[in-house]
Amino acid sequence: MSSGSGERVIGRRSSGRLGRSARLVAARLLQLVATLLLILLFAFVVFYILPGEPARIMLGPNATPEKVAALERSLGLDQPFPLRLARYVGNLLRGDLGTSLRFAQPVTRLIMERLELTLSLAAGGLLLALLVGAPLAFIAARHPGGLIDRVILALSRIGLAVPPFYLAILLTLAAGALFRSFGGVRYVPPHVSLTASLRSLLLPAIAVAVPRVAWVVQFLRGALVEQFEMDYVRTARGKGLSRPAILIRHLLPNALVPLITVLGLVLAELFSGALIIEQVYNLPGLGRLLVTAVEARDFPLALGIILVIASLVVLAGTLVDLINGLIDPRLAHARPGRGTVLR
Amino acid sequence: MKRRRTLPRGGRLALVLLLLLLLAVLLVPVIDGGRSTVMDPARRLQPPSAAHLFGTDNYGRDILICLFEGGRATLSIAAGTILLGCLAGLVIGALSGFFGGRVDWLLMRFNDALLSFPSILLALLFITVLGGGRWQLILAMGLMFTPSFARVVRTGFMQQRSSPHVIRVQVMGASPWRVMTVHILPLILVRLSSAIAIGLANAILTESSLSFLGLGIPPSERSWGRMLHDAQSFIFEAPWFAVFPGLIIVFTVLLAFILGSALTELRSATISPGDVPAPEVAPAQHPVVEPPADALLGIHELTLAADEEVVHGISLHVSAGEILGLVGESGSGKTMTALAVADLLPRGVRRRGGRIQIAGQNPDLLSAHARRRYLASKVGFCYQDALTALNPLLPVGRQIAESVRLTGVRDTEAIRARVLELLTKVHLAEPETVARALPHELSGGMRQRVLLAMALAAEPDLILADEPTAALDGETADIVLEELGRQREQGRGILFISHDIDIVRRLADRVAVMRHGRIVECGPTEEVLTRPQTDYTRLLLASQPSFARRGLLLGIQTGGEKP
Amino acid sequence: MSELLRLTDLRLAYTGERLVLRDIDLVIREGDVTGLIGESGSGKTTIARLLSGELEAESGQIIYAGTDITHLRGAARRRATQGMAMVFQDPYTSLDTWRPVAAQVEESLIIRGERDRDERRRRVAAILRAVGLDPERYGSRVPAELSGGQRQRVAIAAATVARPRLLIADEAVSALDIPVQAQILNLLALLSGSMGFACLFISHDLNVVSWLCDHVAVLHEGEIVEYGETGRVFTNPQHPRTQALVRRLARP
Repeated sequence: MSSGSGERVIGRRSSGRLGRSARLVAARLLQLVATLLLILLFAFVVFYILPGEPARIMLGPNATPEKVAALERSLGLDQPFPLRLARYVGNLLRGDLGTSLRFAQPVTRLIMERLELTLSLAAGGLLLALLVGAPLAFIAARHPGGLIDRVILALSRIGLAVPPFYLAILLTLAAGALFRSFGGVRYVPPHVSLTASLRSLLLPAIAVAVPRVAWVVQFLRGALVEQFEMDYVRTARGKGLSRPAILIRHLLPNALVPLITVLGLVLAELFSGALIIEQVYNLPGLGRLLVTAVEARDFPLALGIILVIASLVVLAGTLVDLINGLIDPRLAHARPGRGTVLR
Repeated sequence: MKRRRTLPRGGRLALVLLLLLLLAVLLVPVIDGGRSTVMDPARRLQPPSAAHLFGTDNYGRDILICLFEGGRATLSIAAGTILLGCLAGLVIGALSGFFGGRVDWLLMRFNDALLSFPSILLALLFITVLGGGRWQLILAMGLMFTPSFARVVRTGFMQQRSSPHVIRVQVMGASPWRVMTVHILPLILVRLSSAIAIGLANAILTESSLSFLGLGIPPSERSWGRMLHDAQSFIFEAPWFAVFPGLIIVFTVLLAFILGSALTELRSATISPGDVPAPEVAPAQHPVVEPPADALLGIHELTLAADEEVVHGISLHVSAGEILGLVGESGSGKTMTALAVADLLPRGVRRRGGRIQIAGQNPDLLSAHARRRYLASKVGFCYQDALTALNPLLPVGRQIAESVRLTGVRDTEAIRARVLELLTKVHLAEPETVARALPHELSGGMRQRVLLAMALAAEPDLILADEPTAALDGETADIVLEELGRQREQGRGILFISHDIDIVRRLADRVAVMRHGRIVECGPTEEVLTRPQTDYTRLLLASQPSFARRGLLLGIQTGGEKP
Repeated sequence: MSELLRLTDLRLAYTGERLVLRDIDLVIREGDVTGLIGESGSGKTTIARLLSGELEAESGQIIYAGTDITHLRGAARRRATQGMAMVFQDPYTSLDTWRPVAAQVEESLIIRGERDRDERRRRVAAILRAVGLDPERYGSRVPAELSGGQRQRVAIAAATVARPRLLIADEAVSALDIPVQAQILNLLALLSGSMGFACLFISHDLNVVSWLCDHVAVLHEGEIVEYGETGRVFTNPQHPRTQALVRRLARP
């Protein structure tokens, strides 16, 4: 009998798993740059091509033609579009996002001053979503279709339907009812006092996190139920492995990929959630800055903020793809998938 | 049989409630005629009462009536958004899916870039340029919703285009127009319907967020989010002002989500294969034969049930050094029987009765932990689907090692050597490479042999082989069959499940024929296959196509006739 | 009988690395049932996809009813391939899930330009009866309400109602249980006998091919290694590959 000499183990000809990861990193980084450029191009087209005269809109109807012309010159609007784009990209590479019209300060500095708060809020929300969502998903997935499962699913569905800002208002009401002295949230930077800083961010973080907890629960529970039903879990049971051994060695690695995927999506939505929550609690973060910029029609500032947040989101997505590619080599061959959650 | 084309109950209820809400939003402000929404400082910020169910706002307007009025803006903006996004998505998705290739690549890269962008930022980007207002919101949000619709449409297209039902009519000569309108579009519309419901929910949320920020609808108009914006300053003074507009948002969004997921279920219900109709007359059960005292596996009147009984009190035995072939159609209960022996029944299938004896012991009498160890050491299971039966993220060598460890081998080197020995035994060349490989890096034939090696790893007395050669080509199948033959010579008992009578004839000492959860015939292979006692076995044998039966109709039991 | 389909020097490679099909030569005459047998990955389905127009050959020729259809696309191909029909392994995915089966069978006639509504209805009822399905009882059902064997009967009815000249059956019986498979095989044999269409019957099961087909082509790693009358191939196989196949079959 022949020993199947024609058979080959597929996909391990040259490099091992590490070599494949290195190639993956390179491919993903390239993709990152391309995506960012695309977003920039898109934003630029929207800002500078769609409306007739941005300078006139910014200055209002009473501005003199001379003032409008001066602003157009200072924005570089008198130059052809490709040149403007190229100059913007050139400045961007040096970390210069232009000058805010409203504050007459460099956009980069304005953003850097407020980035910390928005990042901490998003990070806090992510932590909460993970710490609350993951255990709930595990509990629900233990007995799919059971009472506990259905209750958790129903709650998560309601969580998805509650707008974060409404939740923030309800939380404020509740805090006001519980603590007489509650006078609203006042942000304390962490370098002043770490505990006070955490306390000041707790309510906003909860408001930001609740709908995302619902995402984590629904996504991870679905993935876990699917994995529980998989034949390989049966194989592991048939080997006489204990429950913890099956959970740790077999189930968790397979459930990790969906978990990390959903955390990436959560992070992206947390940024937009944070933008709104900052408004409710009057927190001096990027969100409030962006709202001010939009209200004031401060184009350079709004574009700068949007670009920074977009980069963070794309970076997070790239990180998710990278980690998942390391966990599951099958994904390294597939095309990168962005979020599949419907808007 | 029941048609599963109607919405689940929850979805129907959500749809009715949504329509009622829509009706109220359209009619109530007309009926009220603006009486309750005039400014009246005398009624300022009154708490809920019989006259004003939800209380009044800071200008003394009735909040309930304002909600219905505000619903017009919120709902019409959401509807406009979805209409725009859906139409644009349909065009982009169809272009992408239809042309494929570079057009598709470019459109989808652009699409993905937009999708990875936080949705509300994109809307803000437009509003900075266009300013707030109803039409501006619809344009901005419509554009931001387009990519997700485009993706749904494109995926539907891609799947449908290469689906057999489309190829079939294309080969018949159907025009592209007919293929598109009759065979592709209806299925995509089903997919879109759930995307639309979920999109509606998200559009309401986004409009509310923007208006709440004060960047959406202008102060002169009213929407749910705008009302919350106004209420913000009176949170402690008049909580009802903020609570009720929020509640109606949650309520509406929740209904739309429920409707959306119900529509998703509707979609998946249409791709579930129909059930094989149950037999009109239950086949007769083979008489119970007391198993020999030394039988390795004795199954006595085993009954298994899910929603209804799937195995009806069957009895079987396998002796040491014997292969029992279990043949029957799909769904006859063969696999369930084997899973019951190994105590691996899927969720929802339970044992209703009967006794199982393995190597002289009744595992039911052991504690759960002891039973698991006992069965793992006595029973090796060679599963049918080799790809799904292996953990996709664990090298196959380590998966085999888990079984080796059960035999008491603890030394890492010894385990390694044993794993390599097992892989060599099933004729896998380069066992070191195979051991390090992940399941997806192996071919189907190699995976099936890895599973066989795993079943042998614990040196079990009993091997349960469930269609181990169904997916294999001739040569590889022979390797597996010969190894099973060798295991029999070493004194192991084997329950060999197959639908292939030829293979069972080659391999098995005895045969049991199973149909609709009953054993209809059981006996020595030679006897059953040459002198079958029941009509069903005769039909099974007469249905077997072969060169020798050329020119004779199949399934006709005596003589046969020329076709 | 005259020649209906001729494949000459057909060649196709995926990714430029591996040759999937090399120098395929095959002739099917009118009314001839030819079995194409090979293991998984041997290129059987690729040949079916070349004929259906899903794939395009890199070199070589496909001549159907006197026309070179190798590189024909669109309306010209539809005109040239009139009389081709296909049956797949999974009847469920090859039927529309939402439409009653009678309408799906009728559609074949609409596509072929049969304008008379009553005539269409008459022929649909006749073919449903011929495949063993009572049109009154089953015609208005959707595929989900039929068993696997019944679905495959519908697929065969839809493929044959317009009197095809060439039926391409890609593993058409391999997903069915033996007794059901027997009924479908009987049906194919009877229909091809009475209607006189040719058939390219693609299968991995030698038993099935040996029972049904007039001629057999053995495909191995993208090459036809043996072709001949079924009787000759089974009693006197020439290529070592065929010999091994037949030997495995003949084992007691």
